[in-house]
Amino acid sequence: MKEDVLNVENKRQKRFSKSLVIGLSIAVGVLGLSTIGLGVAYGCMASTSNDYAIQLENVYQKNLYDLVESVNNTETKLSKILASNSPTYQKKMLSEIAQNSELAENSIASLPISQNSLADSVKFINQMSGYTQTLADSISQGKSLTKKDLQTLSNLHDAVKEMKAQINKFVKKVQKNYSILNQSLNLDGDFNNFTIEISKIKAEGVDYPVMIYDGPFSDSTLDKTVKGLKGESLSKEECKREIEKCFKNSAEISYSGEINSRFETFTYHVTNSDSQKLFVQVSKVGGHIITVSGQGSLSGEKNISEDEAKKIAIDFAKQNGIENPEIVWSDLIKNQIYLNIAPTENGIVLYPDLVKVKVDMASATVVGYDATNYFINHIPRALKQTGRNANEFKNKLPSGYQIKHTRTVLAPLDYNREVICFEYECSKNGATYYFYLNAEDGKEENVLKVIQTDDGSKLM
Amino acid sequence: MKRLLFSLIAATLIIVMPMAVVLATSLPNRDGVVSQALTVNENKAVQQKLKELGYYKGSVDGVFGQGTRGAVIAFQKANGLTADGIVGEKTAKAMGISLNTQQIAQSGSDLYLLAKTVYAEARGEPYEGQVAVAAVILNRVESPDFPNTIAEVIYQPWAFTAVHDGQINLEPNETAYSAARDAMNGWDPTYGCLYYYNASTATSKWIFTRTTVVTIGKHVFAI
Repeated sequence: MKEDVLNVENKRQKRFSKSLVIGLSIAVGVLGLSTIGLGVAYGCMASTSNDYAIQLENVYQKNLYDLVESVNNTETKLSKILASNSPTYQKKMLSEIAQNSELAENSIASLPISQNSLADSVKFINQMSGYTQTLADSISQGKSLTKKDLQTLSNLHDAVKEMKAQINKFVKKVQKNYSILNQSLNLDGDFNNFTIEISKIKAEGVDYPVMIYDGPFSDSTLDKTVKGLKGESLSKEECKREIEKCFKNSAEISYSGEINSRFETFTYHVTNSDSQKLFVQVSKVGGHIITVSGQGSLSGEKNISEDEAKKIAIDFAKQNGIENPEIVWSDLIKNQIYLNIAPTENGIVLYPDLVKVKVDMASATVVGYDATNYFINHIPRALKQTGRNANEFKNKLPSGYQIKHTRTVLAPLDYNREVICFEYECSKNGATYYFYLNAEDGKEENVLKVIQTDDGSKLM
Repeated sequence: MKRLLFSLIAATLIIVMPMAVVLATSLPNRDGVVSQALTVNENKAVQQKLKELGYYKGSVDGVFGQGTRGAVIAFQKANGLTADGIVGEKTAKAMGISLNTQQIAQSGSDLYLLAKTVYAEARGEPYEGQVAVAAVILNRVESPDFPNTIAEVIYQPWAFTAVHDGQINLEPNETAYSAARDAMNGWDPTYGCLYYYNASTATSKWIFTRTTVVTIGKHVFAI
C-alpha cells in the first residue's frame, strides 16, 4: 500500500516535472521569439531612423552647395559689372545678383544654424539683394551708375570675394566625411559646431559696405519714425478717460502697463459693454488710441447689416480724429468685418494714413482698431488736385478693362515715395484690378489685383 | 462552436457599425459643395437677383443658407430647370448672372501656417499675446536680419521651440486663426518686435541681451 502510494507520488512528480519542462520550453521559446521579433523591429526602426538621418543630411548638403553656387555667381557678376560700361548689361547683372542673393538667403535659412550668430550675414545678403535691385530699377528709369554707386559696388565685391574664399574652404572640409547633421546636434550653449564654423564664412577683416538706398530691406524703409503724434503728455488717469469716451458703458477699464518703443503708450484691459475683453494702447502724447486688439464673438451671429457696421467704424474713426474718413476696402470673415478707412484731404484719399477697424456684427461694437500707420505718416502735406482728371488718361489703360470706379488718391509707392494718382477700379473676365496712373502725366505707377482666397479677398 | 461564431459576428458588427456612421456623416453634402463653389460676392449677386425677382426675402449677406437654397429651388421650378438648389451654369445663365469661373480661390496657406504657429507657441496666452506672436513672425519677414517669407521664417531651424518639437502640427483653433488674421491685417501690439521669450523657461542667455518692449501674458517681447 505504502509502495503504491509512493509510486503514485513518483509518477505525479515525474508528470509535474515533465509539464514544468514543457512549460518552461514554451516560455523560453516564446521569449526567444519575442526577443528575435524585438530585435528585428529595433533593427528596422534603427534603419528607418538612419534613413531619415541620411535624407536630412542630404537636404543640408544640397542647401550648402546651393549657397556656394549663389555666392560664387554673385562674386563673378559683381566683377563683371565693374568691368562693363554698358548700362543694359549692368542692369542685367544687377537684377541677376539680386536674384542670386535671394537664393543665397534661402539656402542659409534652411541650414541648421542658430539665427543669432548669423544675423549680420543674412542682413548683408538681404541688403545686397535690395541694393542691386534698386540700382537696376534706377537704370531702367534712364539713370546711370554714379561714381559713388561704383565705389559701393567695388566694396561689395571685396566683401563677397572674402565670403567666397571662406565658403569654398569650408566646402572642401565637408567633402571629407563631414556630417552637418552630427555637427549641428553637437550643442555648445546656444551654438553648435556647425554654427561656429559657418559663421566664420562672413567677410572677416572686410567691413560690410554701408548701402544707402531707399529700397527693400534698407535701413530707411525700416525706420518708421512716428511723425503724426501731437498733443500734451498725459497721465495714465487722463489716458483712461480717453478710453471711456470711445468705449461708452464699458464694464471695466484696468491699467496694465506701459510701452516705450516706436510708440510710447499706456496699455489697458477693457471689458466692453458686451463683456468682450479688449487690449487698448493709448499714446502718452495726446491720449490717442493707437491700437485695440480683441477677438470679438465666435458665434457667427449677425445682428446688424454691413452698412450699419460701416457706420459704426466711420464714427469710431471720426471720434479718434481721422479727418473726412472714407471706407476704401472691406472684408467680411464670418461675423467680423475688417474695414480699411483712409482720411481725405481736398478730395484726395490718403492711403499712407490708413486706419483699420474691426467691427463685431453680433455685438455691434468695435473690437479692433489700428492707427499706427496714421500716426507714423500723417503730416500736413498741403495737397492740391493736379488740375487733370481721371477721364483724360483713360486711354492709357490697357484695352479690355471695364472701368467701374475712379478716385484721386495719394499712393505710397516704392522707395518711400508718395505720389498723387488716379485710381481706376477695373474688371476683366470677372477679376478686379486697380490701376494707379500718375495724376500729373498719366504714367502707370502700380497695378494691383484682387485675389480671392479661402479666407476672404486680398489685394496683391 | 455556434456560440463562438455568433459572438464573432456580434463583435464585428459592434466595431464596424459606428465606423460606417462616422463615414456617412463625414461625406460632403450638396449644400456644403454649393456654398464652397461660389464666392461671397457671387452668392450676394444670386441673392440680389432672387430678391429683385421676388423669390428671396432674406438679407443679401453672401451666405448661402437654407433661405437662399429655397429661393433657388423656387426659381428653378418656375423656369423649368432641375430643382436641385445648386447654382450651376444653367441656373446662373437663367438668372442673368455670370459666374466667375476663371478665378481660382487660393488656399490661405500663409494664414494657415501663421495660425498653426500661433496655436503651437501661444495657445494659453491672452488674445493680444497671440496677435503679438503672429506680428513678430511678420516683422521678421520684413526685417533684413531674417528670411523673407512666412514659411522660411517659421521653419528656420531652431527659431521656434514649438516648430522644433513638432507641436506646429497641431490643428489651430478659431482664436489662433483670428489672431493670425489680425496680424496679417496689420495689427501689431508690440510695435515692431522681432523676438519673444518666456522669461521663466528661456534657456538662452543671448535672448536676455535684447531690449524688452512689453510683456504680454507669459511672453516678453523684445527688439
